[in-house]
Amino acid sequence: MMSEPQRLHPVAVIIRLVKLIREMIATFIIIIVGFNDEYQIYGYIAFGAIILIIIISSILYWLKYNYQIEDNEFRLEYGVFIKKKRYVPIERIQTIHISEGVIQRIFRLVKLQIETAGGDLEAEIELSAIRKSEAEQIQQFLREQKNKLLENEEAITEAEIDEEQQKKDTIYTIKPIELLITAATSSGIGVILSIMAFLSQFEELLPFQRLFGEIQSQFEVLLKAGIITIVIIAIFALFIAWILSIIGVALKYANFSVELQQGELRITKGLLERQQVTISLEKIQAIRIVENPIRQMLGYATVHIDTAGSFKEGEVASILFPLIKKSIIKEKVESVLNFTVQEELHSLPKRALYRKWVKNLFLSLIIVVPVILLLKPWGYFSIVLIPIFFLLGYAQYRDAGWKIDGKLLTLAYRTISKTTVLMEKKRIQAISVHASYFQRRKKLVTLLSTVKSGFAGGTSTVVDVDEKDAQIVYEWFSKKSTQQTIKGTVR
Amino acid sequence: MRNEPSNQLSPKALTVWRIQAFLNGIFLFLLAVGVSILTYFFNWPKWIIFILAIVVIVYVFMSIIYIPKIRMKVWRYEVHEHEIELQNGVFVVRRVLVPMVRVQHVDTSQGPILRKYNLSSVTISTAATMHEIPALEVEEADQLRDYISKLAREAKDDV
Repeated sequence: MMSEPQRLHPVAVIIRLVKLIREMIATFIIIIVGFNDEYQIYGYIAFGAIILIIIISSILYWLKYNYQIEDNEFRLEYGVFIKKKRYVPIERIQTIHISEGVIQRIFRLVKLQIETAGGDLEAEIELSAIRKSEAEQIQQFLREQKNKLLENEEAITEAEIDEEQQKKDTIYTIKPIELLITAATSSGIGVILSIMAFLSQFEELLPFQRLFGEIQSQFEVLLKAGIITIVIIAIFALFIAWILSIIGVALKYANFSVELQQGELRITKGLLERQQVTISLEKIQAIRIVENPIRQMLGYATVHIDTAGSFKEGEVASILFPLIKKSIIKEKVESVLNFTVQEELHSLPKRALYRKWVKNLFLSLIIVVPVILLLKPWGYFSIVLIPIFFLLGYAQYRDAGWKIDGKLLTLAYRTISKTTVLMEKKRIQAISVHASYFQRRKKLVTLLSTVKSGFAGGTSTVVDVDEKDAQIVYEWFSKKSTQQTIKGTVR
Repeated sequence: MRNEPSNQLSPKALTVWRIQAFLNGIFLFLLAVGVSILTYFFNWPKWIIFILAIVVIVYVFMSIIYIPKIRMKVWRYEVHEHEIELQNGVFVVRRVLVPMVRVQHVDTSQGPILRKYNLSSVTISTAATMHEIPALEVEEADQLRDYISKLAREAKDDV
């Protein structure tokens, strides 16, 4: 297949053009605005010249962009003045990513990205516009080739492959109602941030002057009215931001589906911009089950996977199930992946609860005290934060825990959302135990476990584990033989 | 927890840390002097100078005299056949366990201060983490690097 060098679809010229124009938009504005009145004509000439150069360079770029598969290598040659060649051995290919931007969708084309383990943040090979059928052919061919190459080493029988090839299970598709819930309950931080940005516009209205000196009584009246207005505006802004985030998330996660084929997961998503990513099961380093408080109340959770060396934001690759009923997580996860979802964890000792309460009390006071001092009398409403933090502290204590099951370590913790992380021993890069002075006095420690995730590490942290329990995990991870038997203290 | 790792850093590390802290101290001192001059010219309240003086004194006392001692006492490392154990920290004592199979590469490096004292630091990198042993005698560091690198190459996963 494809021993002849191939060119991208001509639409690649348009895509390149759009990209270059987008990068140069600042230059254009300067040119148009910078030349005024009598010199304006020169501005237009410069503008025209640049556009012409960009068009020509895009066409040349397309002409010189060749790819082919030969000698078990994916070969890419490109560059107008400086010829560049990139050869990627097929067995090193880790991930194939197919996506459709708006331009690609108009012309019924796709973008194909190929990545190997490690390497830089950019996709190693990017074919910006090819026919969909061709992309699928390449994908299929590369997979077969890779299997064949690996087969020589691992000697898998033909029959096995054939049988597996036909098996293609759809594991997950998002239901409309689930999409709606996902959208409505996601990105709490996004909402808060947009409100903060909005409120910062009103900074001069906020009563910072109150901090110093006295304020005339009339001003005080104004201030009270001002605060009500600000609160109303804030609520309104919150609402708008929320609606926008719902639309954004819904577009992103529409048509979310997960398929399993030949030991690879294929995740597809998106309405306007459709994305597809293929992840081999062996690349999965850990599973994270995240329950934000609202989803938890509704009985839902999100399941993430940590993979080694994945895409730029790691976003596409990182979500396995955007929203899934808590009751079927165990069954679903175990049907696909080689992980056992633990039901009972060892909890933290009681004395950890007091530490969490003290910590959260301080945290809430840091917020409440200044708010009360700054915003009289409305600031007193912030006192409700104290019981909320108190409850949160209890939830943080109750939901944290750990469990060792054979070669699997499970850690659970909560900051605001509850996170349960499942890690295989062979995937854990390092385990740390931290103890502050105050923790040492109470015989508590912080337990940390790091796996590879994306290009850096993903560390799971459980604060205030019993010292003895942490030691059990530590010894479990250690290869140095010890006489200790592994046995958790169940309370 | 099990016994702490057995090996300590070179005692010269204490001097190196103190020199580093001293250099930072000079920077902080100059900054404080600068702010004090501004305070004088712009008639800012005088307590600013007072607070700055306290900050500088506390910093110097803590970072030059007190902290290196604790750090030295806490810092331990041990390299076994199958794993590396490190312990460090000042107020928070951190202990980390890195299996030999996970080690991707080991480096030694020295800056000007370390070089002057014939010391070297050893950095152990896994796919996701990095761990540094900050100050060992050059020969010891080189030996350790070669030893870890050899063990890491030989190490096999038990799964």
